[in-house]
Amino acid sequence: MRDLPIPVVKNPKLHEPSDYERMKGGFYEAGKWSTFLHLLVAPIVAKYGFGKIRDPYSRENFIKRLKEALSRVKIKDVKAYTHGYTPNRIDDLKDGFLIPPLEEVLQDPEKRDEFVGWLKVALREIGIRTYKEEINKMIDRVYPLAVKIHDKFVSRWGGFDRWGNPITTITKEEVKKWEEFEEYLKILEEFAGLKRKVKHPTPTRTMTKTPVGVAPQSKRGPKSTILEILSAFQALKYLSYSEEALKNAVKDLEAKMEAIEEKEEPSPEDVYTLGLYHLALAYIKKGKFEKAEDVFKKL
Amino acid sequence: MAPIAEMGWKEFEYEVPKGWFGKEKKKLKYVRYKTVSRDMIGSEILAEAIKESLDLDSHGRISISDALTHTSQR
Repeated sequence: MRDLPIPVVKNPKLHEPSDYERMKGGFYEAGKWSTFLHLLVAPIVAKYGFGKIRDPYSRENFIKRLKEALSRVKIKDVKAYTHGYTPNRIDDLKDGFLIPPLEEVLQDPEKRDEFVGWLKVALREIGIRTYKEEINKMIDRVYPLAVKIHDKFVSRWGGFDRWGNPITTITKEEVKKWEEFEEYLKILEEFAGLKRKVKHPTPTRTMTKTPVGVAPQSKRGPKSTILEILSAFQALKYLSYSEEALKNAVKDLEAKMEAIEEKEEPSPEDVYTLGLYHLALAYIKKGKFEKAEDVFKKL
Repeated sequence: MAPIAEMGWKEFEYEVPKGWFGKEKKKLKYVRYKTVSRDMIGSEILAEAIKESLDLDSHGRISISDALTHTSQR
């Protein structure tokens, strides 16, 4: 399967004499688009119960459609290749398209309308049935915050990752003190109906008995986790166990396991769910896909 | 899929057959790009701060994290 064209954001600092300024300009503009998309999509997705954003197959389709939305505001089609490497053959060059900086799209009524319309279509892929007016209102609310939040992260670039790209030194504790962060939480509360965490005084621990060997059940019981894992294996089969799909599935499972591991007081059900995810991950890593389906169907 | 950063332009030189035995040199301009990482724009840090501030079940925690980092998926 050929990769979809990649969206490359126009870098207004491309003609700066300094390499570092050029790099900073490129990352700044592309990063602003990313932060804006994150802050825009999250409240909408949350308002509709998060839809199917966790499902790797649905998420992959959402990303494809999102690329389509971006391609609708493109400047032109281009050929593209990773910076720092040299293509050997003409076929090594990838298809891409150049998109304008974020402001150019949001300030141009036609481009904005086109982008919003296609974003609405993209959101359907994860089961979110929103409408253009709602997206437009959310853009007006999150755009100024996205720019300020992005500026804060970028202003604290310090050090480099293993590829020589700058990394932010901001911590999550610092983020929690930002005015913009507080504003964004308000959007998530007011628009999406999410609730703040209430800080309770440390409760006295009480022991609850769970019968040994019995899988604990609750609202989102282990059955739903088993079904979720089975559908993930079916999605992998549908995608012919492509390297990309496997990588995404591993990432998804690891994130889910991490979310449980991070809980202050995991319940017995959480521990059981963690075991299911761990087993699924082990099968994926060993390539035992058929066995995985057999095992999870019998559980 | 992250919107990717434009880092510069280069030309790729290649040859195409011309006539029976000849070859013609051609050039194709291409953009050199770099991917924006989560560590660069702090998307994971922001997602963590949000997860820790909101009362979410595990489905909500994972979903909001996915929504707040979705552009890092290819």
